Amino acid sequence: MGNLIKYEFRKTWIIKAIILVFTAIFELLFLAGTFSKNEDIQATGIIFLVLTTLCALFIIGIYGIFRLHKDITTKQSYMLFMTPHNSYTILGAKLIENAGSILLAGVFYMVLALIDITFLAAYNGEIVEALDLINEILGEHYSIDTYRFIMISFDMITVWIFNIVTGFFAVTISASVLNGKKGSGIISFILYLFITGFIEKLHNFIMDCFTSADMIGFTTGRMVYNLIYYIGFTVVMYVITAWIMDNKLSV
Amino acid sequence: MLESIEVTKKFVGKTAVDGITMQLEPGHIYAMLGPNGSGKTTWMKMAAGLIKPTSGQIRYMGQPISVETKNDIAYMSTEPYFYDWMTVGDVGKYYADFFKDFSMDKYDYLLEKMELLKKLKVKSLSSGMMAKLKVAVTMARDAKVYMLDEPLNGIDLLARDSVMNMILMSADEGKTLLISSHLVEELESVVDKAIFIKNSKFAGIYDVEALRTEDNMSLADKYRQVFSDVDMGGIQ
Amino acid sequence: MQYDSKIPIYLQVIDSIKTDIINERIKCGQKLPSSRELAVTYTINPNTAARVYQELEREGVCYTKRGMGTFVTEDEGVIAMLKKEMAEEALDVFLKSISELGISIDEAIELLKQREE
Repeated sequence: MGNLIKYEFRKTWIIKAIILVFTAIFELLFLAGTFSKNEDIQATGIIFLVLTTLCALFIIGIYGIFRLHKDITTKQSYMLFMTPHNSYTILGAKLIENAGSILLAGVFYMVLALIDITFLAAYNGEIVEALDLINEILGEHYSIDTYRFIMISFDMITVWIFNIVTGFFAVTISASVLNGKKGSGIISFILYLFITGFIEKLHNFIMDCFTSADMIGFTTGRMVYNLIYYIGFTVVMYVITAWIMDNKLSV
Repeated sequence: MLESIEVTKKFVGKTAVDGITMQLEPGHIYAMLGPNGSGKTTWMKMAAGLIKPTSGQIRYMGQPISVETKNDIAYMSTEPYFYDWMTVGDVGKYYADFFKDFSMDKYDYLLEKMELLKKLKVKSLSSGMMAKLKVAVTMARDAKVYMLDEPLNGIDLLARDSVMNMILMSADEGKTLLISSHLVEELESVVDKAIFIKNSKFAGIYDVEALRTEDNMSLADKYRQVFSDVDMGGIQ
Repeated sequence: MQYDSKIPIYLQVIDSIKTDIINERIKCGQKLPSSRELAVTYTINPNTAARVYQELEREGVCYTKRGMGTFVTEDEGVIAMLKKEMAEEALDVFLKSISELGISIDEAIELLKQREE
């Protein structure tokens, strides 16, 4: 398993290195803007840091799906399937590497954001006042503090990882059950949209059943429920995908 | 040892392997012969555990083919399959990471014989060098069964000789070797048994020296007899 | 080595080794390669290589020292015999071709003498 994860990382590290380089550039831009009191440069830095964060999580996940597609539809599939490992381990290694990377990247950008905000606050007291004002407008249920920021971030990361594993499922379906059939790509993509959509609807439905109208906005209980719900369905999708790989995939 | 029992593989709209029953024993080098598309590759992939039979079973030492049998059965595909970023050295490290029976010393030795440098990128290799690399890394395993799918495909005469030598260096009484090819003459002196696959079906297994001693026939003659109706020889 | 694919490979390798012994490319009493090495050198099946040594031993051309390997006989008589046998075989082939062409032995001798000059 360890070796499989190692090679999954080896296949994807370049793209991660590129993302890190971009992050470093925009962080430097932000710092330079802040030190030199040049608000244009500072704002550019902030905007691009936010964009890089979103892109990073997006690209790492999509690239993982792309790699899986390549690993099961090209001759390179022998590299994985000739090894004495079953599909559960092979897919598990991919999921651990990919989800791990997303999680690590998420934590990295979260910490970076907190540091940058703290730094900003120290340099410019007005920012703190502005943030307080925004929170006041948002009201108790929607206001943001560090704790809520972290919880919401984790929630989003978990949903994203669920989306990735559903993507794994879709490319596996298109390469196995739908292999050689016309429109297998489109059908599997529709399947992906349907599953992610359905799971979200189900999530909201369960939520509506157990919460009353006055319990809106942020609560820790709701966040924990979200995490468990999506982690649970991530595991379910993983098991289904690995089973299909084991039984229906011809490499 | 390696048994195939009524093995059939159907793909959408086509039967690739049709009820093949046969048995391979250690201590022999088998040729698997048949025209392209006759089902040789599909049978090998099933024995390698890469695809599952539609019906029937392949057994190794009495056990059905599984993840565990991949430890003892080495398979080499015709097409190159290494990752683009790899060097010749990386390929060896990859095998060492996944196969307990892989010997880096033997790999180094074979690379030296083949004049392949470890720092070469696999993407930059010529088809002859790639063929040598694939055989070298496969034969550097101390497996019980080796299945080589068309190891001589697309390579020149000299490379063929060195590839055959690498294969022979690894053969011994405890090992089963299976080599598929449509270049019958190239295997003539090396294999001692020949399996014929015709239209996805098993079409006989022959002892190659016995063909020569008893029937006064070369393997190529037998191949022509099995696969074509054209008579060879002088004017009758 | 190029093989005639209709003639058993082990016989062809045996002939090649015998020729080497007669020509003294392989010396009397010399150690021969292991059957595995023989297989690689001649690009033949290891079982064929083993059979080559079995046959050579049976004919007294080689012998096996336990744990040491296979050696060429030191008996010059055997080698002289070998030379005679192989000469006879070559003659057989020659005479067969000649008779297929309808040439008598006397005519053949005449042709050989002409070739000599």
